[in-house]
Amino acid sequence: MWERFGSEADRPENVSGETPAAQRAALTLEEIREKFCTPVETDVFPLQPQSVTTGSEFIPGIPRGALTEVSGSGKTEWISRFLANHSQLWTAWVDADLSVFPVGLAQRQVNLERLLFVNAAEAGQRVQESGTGPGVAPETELEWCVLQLLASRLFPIVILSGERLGPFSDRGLRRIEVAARQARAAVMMVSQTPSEVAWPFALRLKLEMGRLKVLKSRRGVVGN
Amino acid sequence: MRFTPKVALGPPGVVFLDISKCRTLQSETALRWRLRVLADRLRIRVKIAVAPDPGTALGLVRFGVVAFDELPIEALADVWSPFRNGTGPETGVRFLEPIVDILHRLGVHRLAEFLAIPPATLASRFGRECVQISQWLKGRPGSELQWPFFVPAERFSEREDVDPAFGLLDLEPVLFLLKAAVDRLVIRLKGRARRIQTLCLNLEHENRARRSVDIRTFTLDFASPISSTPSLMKLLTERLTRDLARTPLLHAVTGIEITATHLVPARAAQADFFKTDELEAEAFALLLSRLHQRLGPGASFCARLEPRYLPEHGWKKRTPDDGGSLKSATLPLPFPLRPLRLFRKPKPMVREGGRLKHAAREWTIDRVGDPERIVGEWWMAPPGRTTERDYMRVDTKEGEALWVYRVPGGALFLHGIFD
Repeated sequence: MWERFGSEADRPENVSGETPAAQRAALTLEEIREKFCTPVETDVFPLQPQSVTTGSEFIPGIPRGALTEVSGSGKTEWISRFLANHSQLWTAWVDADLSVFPVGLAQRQVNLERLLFVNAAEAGQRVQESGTGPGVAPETELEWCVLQLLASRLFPIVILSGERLGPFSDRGLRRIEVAARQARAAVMMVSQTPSEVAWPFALRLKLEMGRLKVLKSRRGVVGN
Repeated sequence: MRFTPKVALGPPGVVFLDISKCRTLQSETALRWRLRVLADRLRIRVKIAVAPDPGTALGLVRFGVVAFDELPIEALADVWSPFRNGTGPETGVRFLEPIVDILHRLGVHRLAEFLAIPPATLASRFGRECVQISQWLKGRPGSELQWPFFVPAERFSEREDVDPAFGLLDLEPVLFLLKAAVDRLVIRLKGRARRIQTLCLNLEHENRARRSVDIRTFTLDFASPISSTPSLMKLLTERLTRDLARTPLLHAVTGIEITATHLVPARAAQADFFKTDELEAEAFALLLSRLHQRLGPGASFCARLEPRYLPEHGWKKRTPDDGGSLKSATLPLPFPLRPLRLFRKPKPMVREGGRLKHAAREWTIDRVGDPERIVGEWWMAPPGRTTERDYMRVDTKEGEALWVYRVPGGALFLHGIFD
């Protein structure tokens, strides 16, 4: 029967004793669900044409499964436009100061029904309390929070904003990067000034007087 | 249930047994003795009364008399409505209180005296209800009274005992035993179409120094109901890991008991294979519960807009009730564009010429937008304080756009940033 399907070399090893057809049909539940239920995913979350004002740079979009940094004045406005363009996606917004104003977001067409806020300021307090415990580093709580959001695979977009988020440790950034890749989520770190470490970010954007400047793009030219 | 199949609960601490059909099985005296022996064994102090109807029995117990004729007039409520639940407002017997007062003033102190009053006199003084009560009491129907159906509350609890010789001191074997108990609990709850909202875990320790058994209790209140073993085990593991890291086990665990103390209904239907909504809802509920457990309640939430005038009251925290489905949020009123960053407390500012100062920061004014006056909610302001504010957008040469307001005295406050 194997002649119909190809040469002897192509024949898989039948270790379980099942017929080859049965082996080919044996898909896991997750595989069947992926086959029938999961929409086709692209590598980036596309940006609206008016958002791409980078002059000579071309940004196809915000990369999935990677970290993106957005800094400068007007960054939250830019993020809100991006979220409004992807209003059907669940987004987690981790804010260190919890100063983000939902009314302003709703006015800019951000879908509040699909936006989960996580108050990292309260997490910070808990960190200080639990900091006396054995083996609890000060930034562990926040990292744990971000990693859980990514591991749940419910949020294709995770935003970390606020100056008090502070610099993550290299190990923390690496763990977040890996978790983002596994979840195929876009992690966007929003801060006033660009961070000193550049290696974890696939894309670094800076807004200056309303204009977008690309500091780094793994897909394109590094620098402006 | 051991003495009669007909059982009912009365006010708190009162149980009625209908023994009218059991007379041939046991005498009244024998039943009293058996009940007393049982109560002694359970270490419960009881008062027992036997009467033709539940109301009279309740009155006899409450007022410590032995015959209906000796019952005071205050027993009217007990005789009229013996099965009332003491936890409710008891509106069913409240109308009797003024009647009892008047009867006392008229010199009627016992129920027997009340029954001797002619119905015509009662009708003119107390109305139709009192006549009905009198007639009903005269022909007390006894066991013909409709007894409420009593169903004992089901207890969803599972237990694992450990041989004291092999008491557990590490978390891993505790979790291993706990999983078996959680599995059984979840299966029982699935059969009843229930999900767990609050779970109580008791770890029993044998304190050899004091020769006693101490119980350490962990209560887990979930943000959303949970109904699967992996989710529950994940939450229990995190909680135990965290708590035991702070306060380790000092004595070996000899028993584990989990009890679902608060349950909510679940969908009994089978999950749709090709729709992942239910799986996502369960995952969302689990995530919220984990954030809730770790960061505290209120740290993770969704926002709902509120139709309020003051900007800081324009939204409220909201936790999804049923696994992530949120009702639509719409803007209540059309108003000028709000900033994306709003400070919890407005920060006082000083204007010096063309510059604005707050603490160590300074901005140079480039352009000031049109003012927007907000005067609403004066009725909620503390006495002596005004809610009148003139908001304006201030574009600065530094590139930032500030949301500043001025109060009637002229003071300026920075309330937000168009970040």
